[in-house]
Amino acid sequence: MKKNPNLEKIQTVEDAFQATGRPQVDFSNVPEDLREHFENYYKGIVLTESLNKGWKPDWENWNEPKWRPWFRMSASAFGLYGADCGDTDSYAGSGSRLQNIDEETAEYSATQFSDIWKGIQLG
Amino acid sequence: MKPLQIDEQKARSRYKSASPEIKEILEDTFGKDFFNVSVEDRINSLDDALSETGRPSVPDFDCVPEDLRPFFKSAYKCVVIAEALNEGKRFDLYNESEYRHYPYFRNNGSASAFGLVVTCYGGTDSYAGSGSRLAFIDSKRAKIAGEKFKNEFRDMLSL
Repeated sequence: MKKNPNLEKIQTVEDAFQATGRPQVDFSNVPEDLREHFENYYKGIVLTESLNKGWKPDWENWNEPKWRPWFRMSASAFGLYGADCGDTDSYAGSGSRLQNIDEETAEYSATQFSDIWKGIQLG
Repeated sequence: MKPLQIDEQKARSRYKSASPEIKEILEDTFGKDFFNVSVEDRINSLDDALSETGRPSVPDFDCVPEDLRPFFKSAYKCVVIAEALNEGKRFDLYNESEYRHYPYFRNNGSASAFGLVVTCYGGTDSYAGSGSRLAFIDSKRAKIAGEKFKNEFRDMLSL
């Protein structure tokens, strides 16, 4: 049984859009070679919002762990490498919008939606 | 006879692999010093990065919900800054022997306290969102990004 009930509810990216009320968007005003990156980033944000039960990272709170997936970059086996947590630190790109409420949620996001994460990392 | 026209961005990118004869023509046109300015010295602002990469100015991102527009604008800026500092080099994330360097920030909510902590590198792993668009060829460039463009990265990570 998953502790975060949203992990049962959000099985597809369409579920994430429905749960958040966010619209599907068209990034045609972005240079063509960057569209895949931004499209997937947007999906990643919507997905993360839908899984986090309204939680947003509080960067002033050193005691609050903030979880983000960490990937093994391999052509044949792209996938979750682990979930890492920080208090008030952040890698380039891993900002507020892609932090998860707990380890279970970060791992679920990375494994269930690996295509989106792959698109962000490689797009 | 048609005159050859080449802008500064193209001239700089072609110069490195040009033959000695073509290099001489480019140096006569733009001046030798033009090609000797390091990326550290010539990329000092977002406008410099846009000019270096030939990317259009920041889109208004009116396609995304209003509350996400500031984030996407800042993310676009950081992608362009990384491209400029990397001088067009795009990473093959599947190449295990190619190390990618990232700035790593202390992001504790206060605008004044936000800042570069260190630069890190990886060979076959990557944090959520860091990927190939925000990686740097070497720690020097990651440090320049983290220090000179601190505000742009702070916005992307905080908004």
